[in-house]
Order: sequence, then C-alpha cells, then structure tokens
Amino acid sequence: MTRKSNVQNIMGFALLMFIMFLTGCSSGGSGTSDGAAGEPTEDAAQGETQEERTIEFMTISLSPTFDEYINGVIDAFEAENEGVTVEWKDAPYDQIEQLVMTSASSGDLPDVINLNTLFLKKLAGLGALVNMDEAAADVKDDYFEGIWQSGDIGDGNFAIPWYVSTSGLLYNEKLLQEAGFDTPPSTFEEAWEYSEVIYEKTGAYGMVIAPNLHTQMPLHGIPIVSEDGTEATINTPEAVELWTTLKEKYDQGLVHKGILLDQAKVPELYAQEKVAFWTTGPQLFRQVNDLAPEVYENSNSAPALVGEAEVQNASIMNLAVPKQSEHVDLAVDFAAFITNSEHQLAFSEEANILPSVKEAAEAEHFTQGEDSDDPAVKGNFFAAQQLELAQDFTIPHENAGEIAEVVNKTFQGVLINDGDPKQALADLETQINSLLQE
Amino acid sequence: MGQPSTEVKPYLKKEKWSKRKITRLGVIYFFLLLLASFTIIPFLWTISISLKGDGDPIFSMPPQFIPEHWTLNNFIEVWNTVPIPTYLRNSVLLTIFGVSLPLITSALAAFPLARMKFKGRQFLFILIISTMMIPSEVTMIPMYLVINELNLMGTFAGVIVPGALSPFGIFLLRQAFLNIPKEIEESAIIDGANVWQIFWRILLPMVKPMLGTLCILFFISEWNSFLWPLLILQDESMHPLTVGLYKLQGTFVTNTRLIAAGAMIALIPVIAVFIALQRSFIDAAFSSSIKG
Repeated sequence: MTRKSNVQNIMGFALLMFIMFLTGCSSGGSGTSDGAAGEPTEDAAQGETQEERTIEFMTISLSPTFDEYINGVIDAFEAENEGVTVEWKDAPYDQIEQLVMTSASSGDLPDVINLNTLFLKKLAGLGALVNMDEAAADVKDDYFEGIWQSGDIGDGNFAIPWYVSTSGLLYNEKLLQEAGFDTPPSTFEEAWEYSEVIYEKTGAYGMVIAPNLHTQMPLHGIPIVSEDGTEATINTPEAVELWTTLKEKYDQGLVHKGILLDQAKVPELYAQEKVAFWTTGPQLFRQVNDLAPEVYENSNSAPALVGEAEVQNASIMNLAVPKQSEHVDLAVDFAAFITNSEHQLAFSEEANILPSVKEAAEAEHFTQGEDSDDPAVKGNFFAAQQLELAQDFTIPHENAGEIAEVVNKTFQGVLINDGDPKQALADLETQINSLLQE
Repeated sequence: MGQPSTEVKPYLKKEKWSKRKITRLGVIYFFLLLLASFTIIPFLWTISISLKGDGDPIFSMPPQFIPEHWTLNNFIEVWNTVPIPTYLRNSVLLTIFGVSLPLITSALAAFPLARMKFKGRQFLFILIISTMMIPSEVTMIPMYLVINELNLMGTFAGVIVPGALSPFGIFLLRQAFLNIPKEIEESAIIDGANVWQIFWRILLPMVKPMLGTLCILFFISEWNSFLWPLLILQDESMHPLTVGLYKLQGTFVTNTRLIAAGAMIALIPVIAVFIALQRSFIDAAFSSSIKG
C-alpha cells in the first residue's frame, strides 16, 4: 500500500512541478532574458538610440578577485560616455574558446573579448576580428612594439594588448646550497651545469623542459617561422645542435619526463622539492606558497635565464573586437580605455602583472621590490626590467596553435623515442610549411 | 522490501568458521578494501585539504593527512566569495527538472515500446537507441542554435529541455518492463484495469528499483553538468553550483584549499541523494527475479 502511494506522490509532485514550470517559465523566463546577452542582436539595436548604447565585455577568470577594479574602470568609462552601458561577463579560462565559438555561431559575440594569443590568431584567421592597426592607430604607439605584435597574423594586428607577464626565476635556495651553489644560474648553459650537480647531490631536477618549445627556441635565437609568417625557419644547424644537446641531457636523466609530456605540474613538483628552479611569470610564484609554505620560505627569485639571443618571452592577454559588433568604435574605445596607462598601472598594482603600455611601465611601482623578501614581489621587479626585451613568440599565423603542437610533439618524440634530431627537424620543416600554406 | 541483507546474515552464522573460509573471506575482503581505498582516498584527501590552514602544506614529503592547524575558514571564505545560496537554489531547481522530466518521459516512452504491439516498434526503438551513439560534443552547437531560435537563451528552460528526453532511460526502463511477467498484466486486465491503470498502478511500482537507479544517474549528471549551463545561462545569478564554483579558480594564483572546500560543498548533496536512494540502486543491480 505505502509503496503505491509513494510512487504516486512522487510522480504526482513531479507532474505538478512540471506544469508549474511550464507556466512559470513562459511568463517569468522572458523577463530574465530581456536585453540579456542571449538576445539576438537586432532586438538590441532597435531599442537603442545613438545616445543609449550597450557593449558587452568578456574577460577570462578575473571575477571575483578583481571585481572592484574592473567595475571601477567600467564606471569611469560610462561616466565619460553619456548613455553607454558596459555589461561585464567573466568566463573560466578552460571554457573561453568553447564559449566564444558557440556564441560566434549564433551571432552574438561579446563586443570586447579578452583572449590569449593563440586563440586570438585562430579567430583573426577566420576574419572575425577588427584590424587594430587601423581602428586603434591613434594609440598604437603607446604600446611596446614587441607586445603590440601579439595579434599579428601576417597582415595586420587584430587586438590591443592588455596585460603581460614576462618571466622571473624562482629557485630553491636550500637545494642549491646542498649542491654547493650560493648564486642562482643566469644563462641556460649555466643552468645545465647546475642541473647536473643538483641532480647528483639532491636527486632534484634543475632545468625544466616543458612542452613549450615554440617559445623556448626563439630564446636561443631560433625562430620557428620567418617574420612575415610565410616559411619555416626551424631547420638550421643551430637548431640541430640545440636539440642534440637537449637529447643528451634527457639521456643523462636530467629532464623530468612528466613535465616534458605535460603530465606533471611544475608548481606541484617545485612544492615537493623535486624541482630546484623554475622560470615562469612571478604572478604564479605564490602558487608554491599555497601548496607548500615552507618551500616558499626557502625560495628566492632572480632574473629569468637568458639564451644566446638577448630576448625574453612575454605571455600576453589581448582584447579583441569582433567585426560583427554593433558598436565597433565604442568597443575599440573601451579596449583602449581599459588598457591605457592609468588603468593598466592600477591593475598591475593589484595583480602582480606587467602593463603593455610604455608609460605605465615607467612608474615607480616597477622600480621597487628588488630587496623584497617575497620572491613574487622581487620576481616582478626582474620581470619588469625585461619588458624592453620582451617579445611575443607566438607564431604570426592563424595556424599558430597547430604549428606549436607539431613542434612540441616532434621534440617529445625525439627525446622519448630516441629519434634523430637532424631528421626530425627536416621533417618538421616540411610539416610547418604545409601548415603555413593552408 | 523488508530488512536489507536479511538473507546474508543467517547464512554467515550457519556455516562453520573453518580455516579455509576465513582465509578465503580474508583475501576477498582485502581486495575489496584495496579497491575501496583507491576510490575513497582522493575523496579523503580533498576533505583534508579543505580543512587545512594557511600554514599547512598541501604538497610535502611525507604527505600530511591530518591538518595541523585545521580550520573551517576555507568553507567560510568560499561562502563569502561566491553566493553559494543562489547557486545552490539554481542547482536544485535545474536538478529537480533535470531528473523528473527524463524520468517521466522515459517511463511513458518505454511502456509502449515494451508492452504494446504496433507497426515499426522495433525500428523506432533502434532509432531511439542509435541516438546514444552520437557524442554530445557533436550536437552541442546545433542544440545551441535551436535553443537560440526558440528564444530560450538565458533561461532555465534552455538548460533543461535538451535533457528532457533520455534514450538511455528509455532503454533501461524498457528492459525493466520486459522483465515483468505478462501474467501479472493479464490478471489485471481480467480484473478490469485499463491501460493507464496497468501502467500506473502495476508496472511502475514494479520497476521502482530501476526508477531509483535512473534517479541517481540523472541526478549525478544533472548536478555535475557544467558546460551546457555555462553556455546557456549568461546571467551569473542563474548559474548552478558547478559553474559558480569555477570562480574560485583564479587567473594567477589558485587557492587549492578553497577549491577543495568548494568541491566538498558541491559533493554533499550528491552523497546525500546517493545514500537516500542507494537501496533501490542495489536492488536494481541484483533484481533478476520478481518477488510475488
């Protein structure tokens, strides 16, 4: 008896809810989507006069940490522009591509989108973005030249660079001392010498060879493709020499296989004292503090390692404006506004990152921190010193992502399957050239 | 239903505890425990991290399982950082419909497929089942466009509608209906029951274990669904827990302790539902015979 009535109750309740839901959502549901981002754009345009304009701004993982800052900039922009509303949305880093692709297919992309360089080039290659060399010509010279290039796919730049991170070196003082070193390494060559001794004495790894060869090789003066993005420049005697050296190190057991295959996370290994030094953006140093406070205590930072070429890699976050935006000019204005000197400086002070605008980088904020006890602050000082050397090494081509992948896969293959560097690089050249022709 | 596991206990008591049996059970239990620990250690590890204070290392050698400065601050901070009650409400709403709708539709579709004779029945069934072969990634963009055309963007309905029909549910319930002897139905017809009564009063109660199983499966998938609600719901105040908690993952530094605490908050309802429904879940797994 009870069983029957139970099922009846549950089913009855579910049906009731269903009916309520159908009636409730058809009337109440539309209220939530009025003027929301999901509405087709023609509706949005109709109700808007020239004075009342709305643009949508999408960022990557900045909320809730920087809510106050972003909202402050938006308020300032709205105050300067009568009748303008900026709607801010934030999306998780891993989902941004999917989100942008799906909203592009239904024609309601945000007006200003925060993108990483690889994905930016893909979108630019699809012809979806506004050319900033033209649209933002008046502010172009305010930005570091090497950084402004980040949205370049060979025929113009399709984004305004926002915040930048260059690298510092985080190193474990305790491990280095155990191995008999008082000072950190400063060049790649030195770092390998250190690695050998550290590995022997402590069992920890030194140099980290991550699957990011496409940004590592230019540090050694070997660009992956030519500057105009038309042909592969990877197959040189220097490249063969570099790969041969790295393969030797791998055969000696000095390269952590997990990191090489992107299966292990460097901060976690560093926190376990299995890695003695790590070149990365100082804003990531504190990750170690979160994982193992004691190890962070024993750490210090130094300028990033340099190779034969006196350059440094910069990771750049960009702001792009889609061509299909209703208010292209306004969107470009906003992108320029949030990346101007004043706002970037304020952001750097909050977030431990670097600005893409020359004027902001000259601020006092970046000349401090050399004597700080906190490796992250100190590292940021070193990183800021390198802004002049900073370049975006992302391949200037819409297939940058595929090319980077094929470079890394080939390299991993050479090390792990005992391949021949010379042959591998020759094959790689062919593969890259065919990807460039696509 | 009665007491669970009543058949097992007397059996244990009756049989003498011979040496052979003890070793046999010992070996079995050892492997079972090993298997269980494999699945439960990550969970315990997460609890441990979520209770760790700022001074406690997450990665240390040897690992620290019991937090030295244990604290509930991480939970409090999660609560203060993201609007948990709002997310929870959205998750509950989405899940209620995300579970009840496919349950209702599966039962209504499975019954004729299992019990009624009509032309093309087999073909129809195969057609429904074959949709299970298409990966959801493939249908995502078309589905998005349809929802957009229906003007359901940014509504809960847009999240729920695509999942309201479940070929998997239809398949399982059809199997369950097929397992019920025809005689029961026939005797009901003799007693003057109509089709609806047979369905509602006789067959549905008999497949309760399967309904419970589906309930758990739908609940878990709906509660944990992430990408689809993220795509459809633009408005943050409508985000479910899974999407909302993602905010804890910062751009620069991720606070692992907060993430662990957030994961625990999201897990508690799942565990509660599982415990509440687990008996029918087990029943379904072993329901090979029907108790008259």
